[in-house]
Amino acid sequence: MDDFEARLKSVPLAKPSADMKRIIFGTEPGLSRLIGVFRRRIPLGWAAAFALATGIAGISGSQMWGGGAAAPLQPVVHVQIIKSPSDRNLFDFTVPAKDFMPGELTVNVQAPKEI
Amino acid sequence: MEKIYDQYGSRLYTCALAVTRRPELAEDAIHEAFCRGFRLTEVPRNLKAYMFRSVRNAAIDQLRQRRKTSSLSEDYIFDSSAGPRELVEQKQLKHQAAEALLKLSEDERETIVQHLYADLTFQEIADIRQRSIGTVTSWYRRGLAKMKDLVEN
Repeated sequence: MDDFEARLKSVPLAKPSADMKRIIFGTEPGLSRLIGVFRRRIPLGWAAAFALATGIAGISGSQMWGGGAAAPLQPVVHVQIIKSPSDRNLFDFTVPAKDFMPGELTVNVQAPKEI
Repeated sequence: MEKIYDQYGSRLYTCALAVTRRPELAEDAIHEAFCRGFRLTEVPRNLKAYMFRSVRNAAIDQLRQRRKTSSLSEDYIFDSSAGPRELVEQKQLKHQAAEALLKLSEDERETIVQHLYADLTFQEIADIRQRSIGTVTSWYRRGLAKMKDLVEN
């Protein structure tokens, strides 16, 4: 290296931002290694075997703990207000009614057959 | 990969900045190159050369995609945050070197940055650029002679 090259080399260079490493490798030092494990490709045979084993374990687990039967659906009643003495939602029980509201209330109730 | 970043991160950034001339594009190029590195199924024979080549390619891609998105760095690859304590002579040399570098051909400029500032050997540069060592050396010598002429006269 001659004098001119040495002079050129003495000029300080721009540096990447401090966040750069964190952005590339994650916030924690161990995280990058963990990400690296997940980023590694695994052979197709291993992936298939893992999927099969997970499936079998899931099925046997559900049979063992009686999870085979589906949970019964909660029956739902649909109430449609056709004519109301007030604009207020009369089925909103989160707010106490201040007074008795006289008038005619017409509703259409639809209930499933099981009820 | 983290060791490669710790060892060569600043030099990779200098090389990326030499191509993009925009700090944020240079950082994006490095990020992209490392993401490509993470996806590798096998470690390349020369990981250092691979990373420098990958950063260069990513920087060229960034420049093609987002050429008009931001302003150019005035001091090129040099530190623009030196502040008032920087010696006048040093400041002048920085501007002269930046101007001179930008007057060179792309090949000459990049080779000077890679050899002088990123400390890559001519053989490594030849591997990265996929050119003969003779071509790379010739780019360097020619570029340096032009720079000397521009800076000293």
